[in-house]
Amino acid sequence: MEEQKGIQKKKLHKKNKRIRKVKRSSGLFIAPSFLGVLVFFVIPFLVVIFYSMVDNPIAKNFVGIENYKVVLANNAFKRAVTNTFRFSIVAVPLAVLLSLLLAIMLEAKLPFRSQFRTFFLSPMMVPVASVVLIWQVLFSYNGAVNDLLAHFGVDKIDWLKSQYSHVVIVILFLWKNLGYNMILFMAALASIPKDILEVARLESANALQTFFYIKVRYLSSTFLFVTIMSLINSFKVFREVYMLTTDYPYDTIYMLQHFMNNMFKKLDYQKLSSAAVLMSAVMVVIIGVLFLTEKYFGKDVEG
Amino acid sequence: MSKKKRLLSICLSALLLLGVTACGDKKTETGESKVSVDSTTPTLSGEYVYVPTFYSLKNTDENAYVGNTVFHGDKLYYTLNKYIPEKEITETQLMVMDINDVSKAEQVELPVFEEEGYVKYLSAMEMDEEGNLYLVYFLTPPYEEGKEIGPDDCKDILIKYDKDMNLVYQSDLKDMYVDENNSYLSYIVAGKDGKLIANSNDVIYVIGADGTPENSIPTNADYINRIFSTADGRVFFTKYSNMAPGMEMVEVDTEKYTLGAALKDLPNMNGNVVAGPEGKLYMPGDKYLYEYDLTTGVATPILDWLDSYVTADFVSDYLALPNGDFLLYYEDWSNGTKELVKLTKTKASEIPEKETIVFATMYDGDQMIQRAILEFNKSNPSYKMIYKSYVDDTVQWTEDTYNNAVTAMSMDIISDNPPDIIDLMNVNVPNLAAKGVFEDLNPYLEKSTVIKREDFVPSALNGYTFDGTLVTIPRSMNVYTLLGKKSMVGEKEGCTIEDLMQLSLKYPDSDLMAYSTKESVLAQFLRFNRDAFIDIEAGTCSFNSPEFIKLLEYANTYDLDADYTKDLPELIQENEILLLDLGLMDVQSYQMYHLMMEEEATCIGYPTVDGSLGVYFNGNGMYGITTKSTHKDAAWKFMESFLEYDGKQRMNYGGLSTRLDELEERFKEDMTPTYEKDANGEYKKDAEGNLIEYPKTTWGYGNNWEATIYAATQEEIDAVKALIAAAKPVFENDEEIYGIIQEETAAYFNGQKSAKEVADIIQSRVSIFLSENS
Repeated sequence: MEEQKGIQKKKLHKKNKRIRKVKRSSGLFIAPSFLGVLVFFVIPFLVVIFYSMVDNPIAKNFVGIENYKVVLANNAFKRAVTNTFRFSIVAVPLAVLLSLLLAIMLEAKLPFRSQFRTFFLSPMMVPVASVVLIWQVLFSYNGAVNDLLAHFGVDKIDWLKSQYSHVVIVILFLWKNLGYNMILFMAALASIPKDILEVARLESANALQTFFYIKVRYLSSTFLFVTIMSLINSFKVFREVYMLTTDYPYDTIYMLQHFMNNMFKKLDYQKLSSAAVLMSAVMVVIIGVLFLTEKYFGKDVEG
Repeated sequence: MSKKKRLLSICLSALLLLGVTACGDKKTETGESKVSVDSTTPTLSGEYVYVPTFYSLKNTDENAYVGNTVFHGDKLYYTLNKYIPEKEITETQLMVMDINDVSKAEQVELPVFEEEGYVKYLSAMEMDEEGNLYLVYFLTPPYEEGKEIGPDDCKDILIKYDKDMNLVYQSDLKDMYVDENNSYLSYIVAGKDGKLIANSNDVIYVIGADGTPENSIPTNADYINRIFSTADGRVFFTKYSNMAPGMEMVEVDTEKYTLGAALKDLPNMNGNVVAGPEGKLYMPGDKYLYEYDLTTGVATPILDWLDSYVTADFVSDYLALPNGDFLLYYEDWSNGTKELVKLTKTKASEIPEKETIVFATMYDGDQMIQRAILEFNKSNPSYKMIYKSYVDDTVQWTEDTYNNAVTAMSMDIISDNPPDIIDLMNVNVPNLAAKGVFEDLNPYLEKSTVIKREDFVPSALNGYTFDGTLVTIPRSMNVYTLLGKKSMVGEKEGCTIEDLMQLSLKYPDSDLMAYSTKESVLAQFLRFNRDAFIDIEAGTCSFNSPEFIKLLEYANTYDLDADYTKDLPELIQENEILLLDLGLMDVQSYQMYHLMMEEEATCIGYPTVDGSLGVYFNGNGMYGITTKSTHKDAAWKFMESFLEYDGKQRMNYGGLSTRLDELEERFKEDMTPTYEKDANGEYKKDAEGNLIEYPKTTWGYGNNWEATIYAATQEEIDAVKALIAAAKPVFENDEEIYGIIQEETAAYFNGQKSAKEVADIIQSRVSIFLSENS
């Protein structure tokens, strides 16, 4: 008995030793990535939090949460948040739903399917400067769209400096991102097990039932991914807006990034950092909600 | 993991690491980095420095000036020219100095050369490898009052002497020139086979071994800077052309009389290229001396002028010695000193360490501040102040280069090692002052034994004081305001927008200002009136108000483009304009504008919110010490050196001095008349027995108008003082707002949008700007 216990102990000791060895070597292999994330993401974020708690980047006197109060009370910040939120709430769902629709259409046996796919993917290859140029040609006060409208007797619209600027930016965002999302959905649709769809067909399920009860479930992770990516890309639209309208655009397209970019130029790092921390907190909440939603809808999906 | 896989992964990781460590500059055999001139930020290797030794040039009368210099072997030959007023001639001496012992110079006896009926001037000199001396004398008839001297009356005589000063030939070059505009040789250079290559304006001339002109080669250059020859007899010239950015270098084929292709993409240099040993060329830029390799086309910066206590603009000529040293002929025309400077190539590791003070600027090539830095370094050997520019002068200036420079400077400011002194030109001073970037200079003024607060014009100090912190002291100021005829604008100084509009309505046939356009009128009205539409405290604005729209509509009554058919004096005298832009650089400019009015004038000023006198100024020579500097005392000492005044201004930026003592001295001089004297030294008198006053200056404007300015009256001086006292600076934040207004109003002025539409957009955009800053 004692002997058996001893043997078991030895085996356990060997097993633990092996586990520790595996963990050590795994740690070594993960270390470069971990260091990279630490150096390029975690530490800079901590620095941002530090800057959000000092009076300015020169004196660096600790002021606690004063900067957050100042930023939250700042009208420009409030305007930027409103515009960014409004843009995201419109553009992101549109980007997800329209790209899904396109993916479903292209999945069907339509003629010129590959040409349509190329057509929707081509905006991804266009450089930002060219995108801006195209949009200027189309939507400037003397642009092609106004020329076209003039033929129909409609007065010129200042697309980028009026209430319509929001619409122009949404169109720009959709034009740029639909292709990429569409490809993701197409891949996801192709990976849905055919046998389940066949079973559904045999069980007399109609297309809508098949879509909502089976395809949506299998697409849940893709939905999550596309939504997150679209949300991230919705912030990147600042690039095009900035090149179209510079530092101080019309107030309806003044985004959070404008605020942060201008604060950076003025060395107002404390305001910039406070805004960035607030924004990341909101993003964490949104993405958390998305993950929970995906978990709910995708719980029945295999793998 | 198997042993094989483990080994493979280790090898791959090692390879990756090796690849990273291999990055870096290419090194030559000597260890110096070669940076292509295409790099936007040329840098020195830092391995060598050039230690200067200064030698005063002997036998240089302060009234004599060095005309030509030629290095030949171990000798420096130079001509000393001195004007003799009694004889009305220039006497020239040829001096020679051994470059290995520069303590003495000897005069070389030149054979006498005179031509009856002419006055001679030695215009060019050259010595070839055999020691033959070539001189070009420019002959001109003596001056006679009332008699014009044309190109046909002058001539160039080329004389060649052998090394024993025996005449070889004398050649009249009068018929060599292709047209009358080419009649003065600027440079001559010895080429192959006894030939000479010379230039007059943009034409190259080849002169044969017997002194006979052989051919001429037009270059189409706007300006030929220098001709030089290499050790192997190749001849080049550097030229500047309006069609190309920067200097170009072209080779001359003296056999076929043709030009080679222009070598472009040279470092930004002044064209004073010199050939050195081993086929290298040397090109002086404002910051560095570059070594240029003809075979590879690569220019490498080898020395920083300031590190060697010299500035490029005082280097008149130089010689590259075979051992890597340099010999400079250095003439400081600000104080008249003439020196020979030997730059000895020394390993940087052998030089004692100095504390580095960084002077940072957004402007490259400020020779004045570089000279001040040089003087500071010379007199403070434990410090080394370096001139750091965020703008690379090899790159064309664009909005992007400016933005990149601003970003680079901002990064340095917030780092833990910011510059010690910042040049405030092109810098957003109020923004940085609000962040506590600049040291408060008030305590330094209180402690200083050299300068005091009371020494300076109060408005200059107040203009750059933010929340009690004095961030800089401008060395001088240019003051601007508006001037109008008293009979038209009245006596009251100061006005509002409404006042000016009413004035304009009163005289509908006259424009408000000269060369007015829609945009310029709006700018003039807004310069001091943004407070009428902006509440900085509340962070709000009212650009969509009826008042602003009215202003836009008023500005729109002017033309898009200015009409320059008439000169300013004509416009004001014929009442085609109501107001003049008065740019006050000195008392004489004030007097000139008043004379232009031809009647009594009132300084009405730019329109302000409360109707007070609107005067603004731009400061010159403004530098701030950073709060994080670790050399504040040394930085302050540097600033003191050019802020003090002992009768001799160290930094002349033009404009009105901000020092009260210097201003008073200047005003006294401006008020003191000087009178004409005859040949016997007696004062001349007019028919009524009054002394005849010398004018202070004569000011011509346009084609037909000229004003003779005499000593100022006390009233005029008081008026200038009042303008200086009322002046306020204009800052970059204002430019941001005005940029938005300018951008949007273009559509209205072009007739594309209504005033209301444009006003709404401006309101939207400026509101954002103000909200951010509130």
